[in-house]
Amino acid sequence: MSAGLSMFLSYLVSGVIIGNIYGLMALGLTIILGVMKIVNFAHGEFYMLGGYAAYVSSIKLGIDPRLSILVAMGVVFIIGVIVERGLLTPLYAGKLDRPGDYALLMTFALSVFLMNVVIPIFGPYQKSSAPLAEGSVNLGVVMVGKTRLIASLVSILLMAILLVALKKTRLGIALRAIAADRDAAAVCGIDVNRMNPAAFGIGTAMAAAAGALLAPSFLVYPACGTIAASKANAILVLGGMGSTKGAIVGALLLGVFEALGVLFLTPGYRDVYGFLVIVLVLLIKPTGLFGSQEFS
Amino acid sequence: MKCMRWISVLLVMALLSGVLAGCAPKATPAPSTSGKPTGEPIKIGGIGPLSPPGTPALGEEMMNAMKLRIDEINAAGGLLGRPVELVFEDSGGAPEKGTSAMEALINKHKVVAITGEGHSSAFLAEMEVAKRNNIVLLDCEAWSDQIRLRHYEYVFAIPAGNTMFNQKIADFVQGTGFKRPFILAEDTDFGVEGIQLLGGVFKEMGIEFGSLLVDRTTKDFVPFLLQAKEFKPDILVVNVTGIGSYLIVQQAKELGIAPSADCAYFSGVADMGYPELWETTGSSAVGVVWETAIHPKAEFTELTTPFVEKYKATYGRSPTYSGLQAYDCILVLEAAIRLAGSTDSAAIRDAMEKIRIKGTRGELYFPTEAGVLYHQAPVPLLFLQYTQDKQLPDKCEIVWPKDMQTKAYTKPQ
Repeated sequence: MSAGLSMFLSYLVSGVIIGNIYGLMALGLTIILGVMKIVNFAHGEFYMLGGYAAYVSSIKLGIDPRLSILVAMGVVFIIGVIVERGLLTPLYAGKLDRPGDYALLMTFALSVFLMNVVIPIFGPYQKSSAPLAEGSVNLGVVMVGKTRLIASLVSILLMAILLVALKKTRLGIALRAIAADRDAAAVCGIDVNRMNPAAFGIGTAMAAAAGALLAPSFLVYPACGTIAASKANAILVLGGMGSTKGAIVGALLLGVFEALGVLFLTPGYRDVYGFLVIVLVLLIKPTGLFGSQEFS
Repeated sequence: MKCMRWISVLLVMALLSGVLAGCAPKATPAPSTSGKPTGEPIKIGGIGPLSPPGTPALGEEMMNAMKLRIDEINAAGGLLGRPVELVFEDSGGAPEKGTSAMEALINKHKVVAITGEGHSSAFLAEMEVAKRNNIVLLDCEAWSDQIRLRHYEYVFAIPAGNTMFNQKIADFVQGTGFKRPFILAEDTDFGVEGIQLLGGVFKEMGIEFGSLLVDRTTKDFVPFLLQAKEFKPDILVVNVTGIGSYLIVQQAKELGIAPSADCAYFSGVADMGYPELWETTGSSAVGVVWETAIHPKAEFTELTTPFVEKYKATYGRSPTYSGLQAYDCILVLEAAIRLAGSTDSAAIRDAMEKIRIKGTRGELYFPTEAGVLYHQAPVPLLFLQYTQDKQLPDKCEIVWPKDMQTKAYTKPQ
């Protein structure tokens, strides 16, 4: 294999690995958007909470680091349900003139609140949860940390489970029905108000899984969700608002374009390349790659 | 369902009330000990990163070291017969936040002089506020040459400047026999200037080198490290502060680049001296060479050990050289105020140029000759190497400079 091809493949692999984890974040955001019709501005902070939950369970409580991912998802799912019940139910009570603005302001305030709530608890210092595995593995073209590789594979697994659940289970079908038409779903006998906490909980649990998976590699600290959230929002726009397929494909594209931009152009503008692709896609297809095909 | 909602609201409110203390303003009046000076306290401003994207550990260390000296002054009868108070503001290591912190110190807290900061980009913005207000600002740990080259009459510097520092790195690289260095530097004044200066010295030495600027707020440095790997370096020189400094150590090791038998790893930031290094990078930092100005094997003055011991006893961890510098900063301001005999800014400024005192790292004075040494106190620098997992900085060997070396650079296995 030529040196150039080897270098290209090493960047491609690196981009795909990181893209899978972006995908998990974006998928969570897509479910919340699809069912509740709101953009969760606190999504990055649920990612951060997932990282802290994994840190506490794996380092402080000595739980197996792989199990700590499930713990993080469980804990953040419960927090997500509490937040939805406590702060977001006015959205559906019919008393708000502009529910969209309410959701935007409330989730933004929640984001600031959650970022500050962890400072007195964990301090401003960065933490790392226990690695999922020690050492690196040689993929032929590039060495990859085992923790990062496992994180990527687990992300794929979680996304696959979620997609199957959305397609095959009663809960998934109900969520898809609400995403397609909330009123029609209610007429068909689906309790739409009970589905909101489920959607928000599942969405935040996905963010938590990403945070827990990346905590050993990218560390966890109060503001660590900011970048993750900006990537997830970008993917949402790139893939098409509310499209699960778009979230996954968009995440992979973003990861790969960022990595290849570094290879072919300059590393200094790495975060710009992804956004450049988004601008180009939106110019050609304003609804994003897959339009608004909810949970297609 | 209604009941569930009320329970949720109560839980959220309980969380909110619990965190109010954490959301309170960051200005931190330092507690003083039992000294009994009287009258209105003289307020000295402290500034530094207590939150990301700066290095919170650095800001906290500076604040703690400053408090130690403030307490000693008060215990010894105060300054000009008055108690001294430290008011420390969080700059977040960011220019915009640092500027606000400076304004708060000057206009709200009415401090007589300010010292601190650990990030050049923030300090360069803060020094403009000091200039506008004619108030003495003493740099504690910001290295950019621009700080010195602007020749601001109210700005003074305790830490090494970039020119001084990069010359020492180049001497180490050449003196240890490395042939192909690769510089990774953050996209701040400290990093950009560092690449220019170090690159310039390498060119003069005839050493072929590669370099790359990285965004210090990013978390995935793999694409940058792959570029570095392509160059086939025999030493990676990393001038990235904060969380990025730990992530690069971890990710460079995962990629099998450095520290390794084929490629050394040099870090030019204080973060390598903190215990968080081992907590967040596992054993990846074994083999890393880093710089400091303090080491038990290189005692500087009779003030060094008492300060280090007191710091350890008070805060339960060893100070890095940043702690020594912060302690020295208060020593300097104290001496200047005493010499000035007042808290008038112009008088303190004049006194700063006249003092010549002993600090924890040697003699402290501020030359007035134009150039990169303008208002720059002399600085000792040592390069250490971690050779074991979870090694304490005190147990490291000094690998540079040659005249203070306790052991030659060891290639990691």
